Amino acid sequence: MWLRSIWYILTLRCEEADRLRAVNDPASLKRHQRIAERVHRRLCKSCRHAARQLERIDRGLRELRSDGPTTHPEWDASRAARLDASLRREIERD
Amino acid sequence: MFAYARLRLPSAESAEEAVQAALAAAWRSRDSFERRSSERTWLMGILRHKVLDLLAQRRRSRSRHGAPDSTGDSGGDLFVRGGFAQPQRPWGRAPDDAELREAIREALAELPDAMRSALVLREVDGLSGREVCEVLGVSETNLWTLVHRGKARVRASLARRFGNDWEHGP
Repeated sequence: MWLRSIWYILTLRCEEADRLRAVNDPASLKRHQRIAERVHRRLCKSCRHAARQLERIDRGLRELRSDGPTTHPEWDASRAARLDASLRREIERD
Repeated sequence: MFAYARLRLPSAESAEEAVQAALAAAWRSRDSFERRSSERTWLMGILRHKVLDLLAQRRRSRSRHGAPDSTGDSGGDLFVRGGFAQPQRPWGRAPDDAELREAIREALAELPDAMRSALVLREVDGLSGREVCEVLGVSETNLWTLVHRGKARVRASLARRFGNDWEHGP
């Protein structure tokens, strides 16, 4: 059994490591899975690189919260006219 | 308002519907606006509720039609033979913060509906995992898979645009 765990730790591939990282609660992973993911991250340059970029994306996503766009390519005059008409109807109903 | 709704909803029509409903609701409840916040904040708060209502409605209609609770994405294109897929542009440049935000926004727009909603509600709007699961009608396991794959796709899109080493800022 422990031989199988050691084999798992030593042969973990990026795809499986990524699947383990997708789990919200690392405590729900088995011990050998947690160790394997940590060992893999330490050894694998490509996963370390990915982790750095994902951290930057997380920061960028949080920044979007306070940085809303003011225009959208799908916004056009016909949508504005429809919204205007519906709001006018609402006001007249009052 | 439209841009806010469009980022969270699957179509321009549903975004328009949300804005229309929010403006009508704001007009009806204008007397209750106590000016403790700006009009913009107040309107965006109403819009946020309308967007969540529409997403929940969509989820209920999907479950009535027996649509499965799945991520709708295998994530298989992110890997090649078990390793991370190689970037399409190994060269490139580091974007500044504003440029990166714009690129992330565009990458989000290209994601499948469920993935985009999960990622935006969780990471941009800061809703708890449980709240997002309720709104979208997905299991917690699927939610984290959607969020994780969504980020991986955003990363791939940024690599296509700025090259593989874009995180080394200016």
